[in-house]
Amino acid sequence: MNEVELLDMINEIGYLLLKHGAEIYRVEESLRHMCEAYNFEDIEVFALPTYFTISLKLSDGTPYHYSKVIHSSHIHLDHVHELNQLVREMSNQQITYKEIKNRIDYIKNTKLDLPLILFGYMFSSAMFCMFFGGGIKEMLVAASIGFVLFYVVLAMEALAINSIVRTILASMVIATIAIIAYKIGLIVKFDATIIGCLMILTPGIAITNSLRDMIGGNLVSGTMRLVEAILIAASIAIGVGIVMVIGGI
Amino acid sequence: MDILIHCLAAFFGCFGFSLIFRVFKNIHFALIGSILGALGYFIYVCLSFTGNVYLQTFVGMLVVALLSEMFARILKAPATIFIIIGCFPLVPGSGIYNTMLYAVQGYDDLFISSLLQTLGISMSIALGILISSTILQVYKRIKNHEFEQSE
Repeated sequence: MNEVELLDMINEIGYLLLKHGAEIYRVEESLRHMCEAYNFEDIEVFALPTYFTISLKLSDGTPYHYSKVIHSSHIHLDHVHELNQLVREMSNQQITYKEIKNRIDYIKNTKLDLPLILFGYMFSSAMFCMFFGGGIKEMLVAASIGFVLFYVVLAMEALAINSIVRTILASMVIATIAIIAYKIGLIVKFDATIIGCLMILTPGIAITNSLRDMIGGNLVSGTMRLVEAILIAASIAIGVGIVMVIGGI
Repeated sequence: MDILIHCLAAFFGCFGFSLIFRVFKNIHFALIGSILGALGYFIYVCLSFTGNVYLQTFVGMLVVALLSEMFARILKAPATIFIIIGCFPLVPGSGIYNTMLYAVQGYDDLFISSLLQTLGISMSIALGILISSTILQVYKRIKNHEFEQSE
């Protein structure tokens, strides 16, 4: 294993961390620690939510530079934890090259467990509907909205629609189904149903990560994520608002 | 009794969210995050005697975030996992909805007050995360004796 192959793996780890929704300061610190552990010099790492770059000097003095743009990101907290452990072990040099490669391949090739995510959508919509004061009927309608929402989001992700339009359309779907169910007399508290399902779309991750980035000193990335959070919240409001106007609530 | 039902709903709701955010193998993370979410809401309700919704949200989020950092140290996992799952019962989803409802129905004064309240609650959440993460950062510096030289 030569140095460039090792650096390829380090870059791959940085790419996967950014893609699966780690904070920017974690990406930068992880990359720096790994490079330091393998005795490279003049290490500079810079990351944005969609981009990172590494430059350093190889042991024979040759300059090395690598940068990568991340086109799509999918939050996957299991992988963030696994990568974090991998980085920890690499920084302490307790791990062989072969095992690093196996672990990265494993993370890249894991298939998503879609039925479990579908269950998560239905279950959490129903539970948050109850949280906001819905009864049994409202919970059942919320669960079916969660069911529809999962496939709508999946389809829009496959078509690579941008996140603002995606959120507007998703919240329109939620509000439409809830208002139709209310109009035909299936449910009474349609507001609890709508809010319970909206919780899936709320930008909790964007807020959390943006603040943790700002604390880590990455004001640029923090601002980017904060703007994203505000835009998502506004899109939810727009989507629900359009349907409310049409539905005459 | 109502509080108990709401806390249980918050717990299971957060657990559902952890599946959406793809916590499949580390179920104990999901459980801890969900318990923190329910605890955050419980604190929010317990502080309702103060009558200040910002204070309620802030203290709830502060406790959730501090405990998340603690569990992150114990379990050697990123603290964001627990904070992301645990923050949801406090996120002002109903605020966004009510703001839009008042805007559509034409109650301008209610719209403005609801909008300001939603923004205020979001800022309280932000402040809770901000303060807890800063405390942990300072604690780490002191523990490792990493003091910056003043220039």
